[in-house]
Amino acid sequence: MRVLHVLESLAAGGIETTFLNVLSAWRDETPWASHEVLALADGALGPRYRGTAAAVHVASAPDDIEPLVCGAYDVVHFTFERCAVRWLPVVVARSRAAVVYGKGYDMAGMFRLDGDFPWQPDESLMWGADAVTFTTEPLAQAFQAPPARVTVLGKAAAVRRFAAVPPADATTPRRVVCVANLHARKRLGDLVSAVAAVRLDLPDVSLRFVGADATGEGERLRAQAAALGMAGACEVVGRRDDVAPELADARVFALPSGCEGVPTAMLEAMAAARPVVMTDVGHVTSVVTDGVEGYVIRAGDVDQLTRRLRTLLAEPDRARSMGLAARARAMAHDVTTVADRLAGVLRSAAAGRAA
Amino acid sequence: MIGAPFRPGPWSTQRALGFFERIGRDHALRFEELGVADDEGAAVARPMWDLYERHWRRFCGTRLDPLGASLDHPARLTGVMRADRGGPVVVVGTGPSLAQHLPALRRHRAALHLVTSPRGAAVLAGAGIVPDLVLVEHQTALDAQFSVNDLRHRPSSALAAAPLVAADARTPAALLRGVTPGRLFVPDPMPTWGLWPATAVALAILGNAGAIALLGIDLGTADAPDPAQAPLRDVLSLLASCTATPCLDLGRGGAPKPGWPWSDLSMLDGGRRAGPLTLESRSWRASDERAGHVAAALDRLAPIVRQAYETIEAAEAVRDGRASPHLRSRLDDGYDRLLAASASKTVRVDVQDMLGASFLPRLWRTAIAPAFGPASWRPALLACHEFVAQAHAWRRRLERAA
Repeated sequence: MRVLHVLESLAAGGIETTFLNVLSAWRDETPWASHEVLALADGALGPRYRGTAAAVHVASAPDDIEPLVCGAYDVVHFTFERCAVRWLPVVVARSRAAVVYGKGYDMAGMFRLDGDFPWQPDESLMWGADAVTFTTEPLAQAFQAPPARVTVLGKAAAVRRFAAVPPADATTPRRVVCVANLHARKRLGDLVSAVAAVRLDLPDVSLRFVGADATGEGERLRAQAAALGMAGACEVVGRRDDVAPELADARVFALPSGCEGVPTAMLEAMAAARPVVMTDVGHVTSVVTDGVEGYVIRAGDVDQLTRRLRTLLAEPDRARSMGLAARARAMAHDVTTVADRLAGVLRSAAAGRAA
Repeated sequence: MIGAPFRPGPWSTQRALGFFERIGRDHALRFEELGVADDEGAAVARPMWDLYERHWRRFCGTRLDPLGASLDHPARLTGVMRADRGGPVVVVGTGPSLAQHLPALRRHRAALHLVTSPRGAAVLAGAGIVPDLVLVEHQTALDAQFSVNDLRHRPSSALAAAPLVAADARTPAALLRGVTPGRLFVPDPMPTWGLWPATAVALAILGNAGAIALLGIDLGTADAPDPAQAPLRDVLSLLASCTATPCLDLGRGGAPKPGWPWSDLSMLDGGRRAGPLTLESRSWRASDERAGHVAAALDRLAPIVRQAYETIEAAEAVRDGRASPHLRSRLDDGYDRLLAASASKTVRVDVQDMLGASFLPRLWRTAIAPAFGPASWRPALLACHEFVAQAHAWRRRLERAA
């Protein structure tokens, strides 16, 4: 069985990272298909994809893409709305391959959750596909897809490898870490303001941003930190292949984003036994209960963010117990479960098409 | 790469941009429908069409307004910008070359007309520079929503500070808050294939710019051009070949663009103040008139919508393996008729420009595999689902508005 997985890019985003972990999980088991990847742009995860998939094609020109998506595959699996809008119509018109549309928390998905973006093409794609997958049940409920063709995969991350990170204790630096692509919609400036306020009571607290920066956001964060007198206590370090050491050196994970689905980085931090401070956006609360694994605050509420961070940084016992609760909850989201479910969907779609 | 170089006179430039704009409307399925009547016209239009086929597969989607943003557009004016004194227009993007040129841009600012995007305006504002015109254009409704989301989380006053704001008719109103009506217009003509730097260049040509330069439109590096930017690179080269206006690239280090030789900002500074860009404007159609156009289109499309509903029913039965021979035949007939509807230009315009449906127009342009058999439910459901959903959504919207 040959499967072509179509991604928008190989950048280090949540969907790309999760799917890479799924591919890795498949590689570790008995081969049941040859998995090729088509990405419309390369990116930071390119080398890891090339080491995992049977073949990786990076193409942006229609003359290059068309022969690939209409090639001799049993299944063509789309993972993003943009590439699906552009190429799924071509596949269903010109190829006999089964088509699976994977709906995760891409931008159209997240905008739809905001309630002001009823973009029809995204939903219609689901009616032209042989099968549709959703990351979570609440996301599936936001769309009217043909019910008999829908599978909810569950939100997953490669959480097991973070289980080796020891829980934070009094020797762990009093640091807040944020792992995210640096972008305005993440509202990372709120975190700088909040940590600056916490430092009035706890002057040894520091902040560290880990993530790719394609928009110059890092420079803005540095300037803001300098203006608040904490230039030396705020680091913007760029993307890291392995974030486990970053999590190990922090007491709290915080992401004050204004637009999320269920962030992969949050699950990884939880698996590393770090309490999290998150905003009530997307479906974050499907994985975090306020006051149990950390705190859930209103997006844009810097005062509330400040209070929650201060609590966790000043009360290590509370932070530790929440971190352990976070680890326990995160372990239910291991990627192998999702990999198994997605394999089932792809096999079933291929069988249905062959029949 | 584009076809043979074409060196036009002033009349031919207008004509070339006319072809460019007409192709970008997506109203023609075939080159012959462009109505190119003579050899000179064919020499101009054919390379454009080839590019349109190669990168866009004959569908830019520049007129799709699936969410009806045009009904809420705050502009009251339409028209064209004019560089009255023939000053140079610099189209400013936010690529890496912009940052290194900001000091020079400040130095020569008075001699230049600056045209940029909202993001470019924000970067220029950080350097204390106010552009002459901000062009707000997005390829798709999804791109526009990105900008709405960005603005929600990082408010910017850069747009409000610009003397002129040209906004595509499909621009969400949320992006234009704070822009006073006298400074806001919808470009007409709107020579676009959905890529704002190319649109800005085309508007500058139409506006009689003395020279046109690119800055921060890097499209990769000199050593490694970004393949994803090939459509923009090729369209910029095409536009340069359509005009006698000098076209220059100030972003040394970026990808080379045929027809845009490297130059320096100082070469554009003739020591004369460029003065403001002016707007040659007229009133824009009121939203109730726009709603009237959509209502009329819905009435015209009603028989096809009914047919699409029937096709959906047949397609679902085939998909679920419960189709009688009669239903199979109804699916094939219905789908064939939807494809055949493309023979009417009125239908094409109504489906694309009025309903904002995208999949049926794409299928009109995609060769359908022959003898597709049972799998034909997929393209049929894809296209019909969007088509009837858009029709339904517009009906509801118009009823609410009434």
